[in-house]
Amino acid sequence: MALGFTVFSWRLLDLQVNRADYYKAIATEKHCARQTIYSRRGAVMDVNGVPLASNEPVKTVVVDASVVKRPEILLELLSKHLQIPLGQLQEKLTRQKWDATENKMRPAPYIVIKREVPEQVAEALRTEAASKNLRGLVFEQDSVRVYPNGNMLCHVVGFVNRENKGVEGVERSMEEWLKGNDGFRYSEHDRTGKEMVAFRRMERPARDGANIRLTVDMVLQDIVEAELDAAVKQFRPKMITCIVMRPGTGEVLAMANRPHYDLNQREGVADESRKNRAIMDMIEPGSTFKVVTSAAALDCKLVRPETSIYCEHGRFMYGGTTLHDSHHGYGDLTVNDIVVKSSNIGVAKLGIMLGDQRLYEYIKRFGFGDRTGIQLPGEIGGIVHPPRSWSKISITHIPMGHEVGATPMQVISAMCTIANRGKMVTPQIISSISDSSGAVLASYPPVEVRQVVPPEVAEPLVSALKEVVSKKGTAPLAHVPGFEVAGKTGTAQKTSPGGGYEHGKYLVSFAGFLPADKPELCALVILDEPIPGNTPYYGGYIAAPIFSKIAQRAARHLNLVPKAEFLKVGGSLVENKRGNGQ
Amino acid sequence: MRPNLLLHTHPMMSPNRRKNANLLPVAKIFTAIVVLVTIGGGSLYYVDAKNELHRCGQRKKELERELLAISTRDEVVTSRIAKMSSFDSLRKRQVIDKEAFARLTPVGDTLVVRMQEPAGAPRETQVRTVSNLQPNR
Repeated sequence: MALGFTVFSWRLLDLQVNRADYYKAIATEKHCARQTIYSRRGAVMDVNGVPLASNEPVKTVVVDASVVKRPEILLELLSKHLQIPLGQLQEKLTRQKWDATENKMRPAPYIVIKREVPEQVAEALRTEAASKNLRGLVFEQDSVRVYPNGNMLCHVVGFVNRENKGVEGVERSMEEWLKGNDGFRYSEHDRTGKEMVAFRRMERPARDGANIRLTVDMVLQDIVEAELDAAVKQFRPKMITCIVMRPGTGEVLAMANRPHYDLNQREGVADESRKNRAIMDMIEPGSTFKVVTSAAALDCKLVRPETSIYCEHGRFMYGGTTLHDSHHGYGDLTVNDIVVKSSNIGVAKLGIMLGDQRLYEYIKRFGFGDRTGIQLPGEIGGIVHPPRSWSKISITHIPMGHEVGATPMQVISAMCTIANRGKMVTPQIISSISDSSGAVLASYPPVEVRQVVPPEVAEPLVSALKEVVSKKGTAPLAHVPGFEVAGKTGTAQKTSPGGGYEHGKYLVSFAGFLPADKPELCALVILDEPIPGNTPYYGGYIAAPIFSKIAQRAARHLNLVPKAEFLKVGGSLVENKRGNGQ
Repeated sequence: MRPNLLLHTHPMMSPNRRKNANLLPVAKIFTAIVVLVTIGGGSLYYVDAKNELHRCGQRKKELERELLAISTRDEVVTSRIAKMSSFDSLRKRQVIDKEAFARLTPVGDTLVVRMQEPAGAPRETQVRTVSNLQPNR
């Protein structure tokens, strides 16, 4: 007996002491598990908190075929609620898996029937399954990214892929903030698989993603989108872009492009529709670029606003080519009138006076050739060739906005610089970042880049731009009743892929701001190859009225106070080409 | 001779015989019972505490599930509200439900009245006219 007890005691010591670690490891492997606590992706919203991208809880319906007792009833139920054909379900449920312990094929314990099932559908299915005492049905929590506004602001918001990772737009550029951090928990399970909560071990809670608040105002965005849709209907352009900004702070209040797409239905969408043309398209800005040349010439004190320049009556021979004025042949024009009348010859002569190097420096100072730094992915810097690459006639073409590749964002940024009396600010699309409780984690105050030209140079330019929006200028149709508008038209002939320019194809634009003396909003409208119909093929006739309609509605939304002296353009009503008397 | 009950002796008893031979060791028994009850009670209390721990764990799990269900329902409702109140949705409804939206008309400029900002109150040191009436002199 003593021997027996000795053996048992030895065995006890062996198990509890000698091989304790070994058996503990086996037990841990069998009963302990690391459970991931998934974080929620942050939301994207407009400046007023209107949700633009959010998460909708959904369920994944899973069947454990190894415990299903009445498959025919279960199949019928699943088919009814999930709208899946019976044959397809039958094929899934009959799947078998090799069981190593029993050495035979067994019904699979984890069969995904359907993902992204809406909560109410899952609840109805669960209730009916419970009432019929059906076993084997499991619902896993999941979420799907939804974009409540569909195709509005689609190029700015962007979307996520199946792994919930941002692919385009703000979803991509702010991925690090939006994604959050998954947590984890080590816990033990009993032999039935139920978690023993009392034995939970190390745990780190999930940190949900931060919420991103944009500078965009969805009311203004809606105004812009509606006007763009009307313009697409009327002019059927290849492309149309509109950007609205607050010049003083650089906040982007609205940004829209056509073509566009629905963020909730991305299958089969053409790449052309997904492009954010406001920052990815390279265009020759045309006459809107004349403000850069004029500002440079004024800042270098080569000319004053009242300096007279001979504009060759519409034909200027230079470098073996002939340069024409598109609107009219002019004799002597002041620098002010060169901008007002948009004289190509006048601005070419200003460019010649400046010289290659100085013109190039001012073009770079105005931000062309570099990214603006807006917090959106895929922005390009455009192309500004250095003077050593210029041809003999570049000095006459570049001042009027040809031989320069610029994005619409750069064009409106340059116009905002003039509106700001020479101060350039970085365009901003993100207003602030906050956590799920609303506490602000980061905010983005205005960033001043540099004083491009002093206010005393910008001021006469603003005066000239005011005159553009008058009967004397090229854009009387850009007038907004009650406000003094300043702006510049652009009508750029499009380049041909084989070199030279295409006949009859233009890029028309208008960039303007109001109120001219204390600008609250600046907007740019660009149309690529519009079909003008009976409308003259100029920016002042096509893009300017679109600007006027957007600005008029935006001014009311922003509560800008109109002034009686600006109700009419130059004392008489100007009829809008769409038939609305102003 | 009579037995001495106090000393538990009898005149006929051998002096070598041990005293208190048939008596129960009450003190020892009592101590043993107390110890056993303490250990047993403690063990039972331990088991009960462990069970309570498990019950609390299960309750915690249930509450976590309830909380998750409530927050999920909240998210679903929030998502539905966002969808239904989105500009896109309202515009689509405007097209479908023309009658309901027919009463909504854009506000024209003729319907907008703008109030002038009231003149600010004069500062303390500012000279101002109190009255145009001249006093009788």
